[in-house]
Amino acid sequence: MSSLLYWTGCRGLGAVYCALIAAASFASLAYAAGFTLGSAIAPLFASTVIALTSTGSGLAAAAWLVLTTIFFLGHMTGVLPEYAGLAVVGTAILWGAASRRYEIVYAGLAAGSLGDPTIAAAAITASGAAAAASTRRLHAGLTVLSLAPITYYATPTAAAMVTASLAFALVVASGGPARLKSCPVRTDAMLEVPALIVAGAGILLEAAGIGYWASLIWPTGFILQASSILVPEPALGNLSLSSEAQERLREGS
Amino acid sequence: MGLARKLRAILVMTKPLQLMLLSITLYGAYFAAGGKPSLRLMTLLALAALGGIGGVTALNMVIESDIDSIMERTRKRPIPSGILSRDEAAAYTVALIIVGVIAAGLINRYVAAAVISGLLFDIILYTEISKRNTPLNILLGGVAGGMPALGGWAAARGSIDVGGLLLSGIVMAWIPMHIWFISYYYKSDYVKAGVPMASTLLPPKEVAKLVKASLAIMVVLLWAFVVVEGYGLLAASMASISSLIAYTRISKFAVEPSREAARGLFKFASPIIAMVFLSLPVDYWLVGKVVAL
Repeated sequence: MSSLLYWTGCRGLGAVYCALIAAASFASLAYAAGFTLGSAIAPLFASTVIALTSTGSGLAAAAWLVLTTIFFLGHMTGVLPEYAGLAVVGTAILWGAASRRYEIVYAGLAAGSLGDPTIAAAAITASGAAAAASTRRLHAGLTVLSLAPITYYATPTAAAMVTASLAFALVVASGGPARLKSCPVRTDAMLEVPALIVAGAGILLEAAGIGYWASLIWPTGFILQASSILVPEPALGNLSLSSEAQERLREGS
Repeated sequence: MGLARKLRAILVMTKPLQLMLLSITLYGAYFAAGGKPSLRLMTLLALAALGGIGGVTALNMVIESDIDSIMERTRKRPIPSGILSRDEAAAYTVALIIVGVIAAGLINRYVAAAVISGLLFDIILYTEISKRNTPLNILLGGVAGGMPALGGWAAARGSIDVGGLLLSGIVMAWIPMHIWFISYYYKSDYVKAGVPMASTLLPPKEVAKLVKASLAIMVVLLWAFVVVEGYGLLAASMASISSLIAYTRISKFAVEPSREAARGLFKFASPIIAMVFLSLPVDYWLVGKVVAL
């Protein structure tokens, strides 16, 4: 852990947070390189990032990671019955409702939708409302809701893509790492917009059955999205600058 | 503001000189791997380079516009100088990256994976996670620098193998010399912006030792390439000789460090990597000729 802290400059949860985002990005890269497992692992990490961001609790995030991993492995191997996914969704809804953190609802839905378009469609519909409620922005909810029909008719991979990409979008919309005081990074909503468009294009390509291009475009959008939530703290707050330099900085940002 | 001026500004953000140098590693690796000079592939590689190298560099400038506003060296760049807003620059830059991924994807999946790896290592692992936090940041940034060579190799061979990884490693090992001496030259800027660099934090003697070690690794990797692929003698010999010259200059810098000496070493670094990747295709061609005879 000490070397991780050294590399990220974060402390405690912040370090775990950065590591998870990096891991999610690597998973999407694995997807681009042709490893299909990566398409499922990336959303798994993404949902954990959301859980961590929402609760600010490492223990909660660890519990979430264990839960979703069990579901994921169970689903992949066929050991767990279909309703296991619904159990994950149910847990998320209960947890999120109890803690009044709607992002938790979303995270649960993201993980629960892995590999199952029907669950994904239901999950995204519900999470649209959660997104709108948690961010208090109607357009965020509507954007999410508009993707539900696409997901219903899409492949399991597209369902996983949609949930992972939107999960990241929600982190940005909800302030993301700003909640983790120990991490010297911030979210950059400006960068998120083109990133989400790219990720969305990848999802549509997958939904249209153009798997090769989807597997290249979506990870690019996913990594761009991850980059929009790890932007270093602006130097303005860290340095004592001349008024001229501060002016230049404001104009540039 | 006219579209032409904005496009010119985007071009500036791709750092044309750096783009050209890394394109030499891309095309050098492609021809060294036996790639044919077809018009379609040359064009696709050029677009992959423009988006995968230039686009990612430009995205760096979007994310780091705060630092660029502070540093003397970078304050005239398009965003701090007001030619482009951050929103505009982000949109153009992301579009450029997508062009690069599509062009790479039209060649094959491995070239595209190299472009996406460059994005991941350069933006997330270097710029966002390590650059402002550790003086060893360029070790991660260096991986991104090695991706064009890997992509060029994969374009010709249709896969990623030991030869491509070695060429990629050669670029990575060369990068400390390229970056640490220029950051020493602009030391006050880096200190002012709060970016920790080994060359600004460590004594010059230690920096010299580290750069010498990385150059030695570069030469070893080149000779390993000769052993694995059966050609590359010209490139390995030339790199060995120029590294010896660099060693002498670096030793002098360790004893009498100065900004001018650091600048001189930075300028000496670029021709080394260019020479390696320009001579590798010649090596390949010569071996082919010898076999044919």
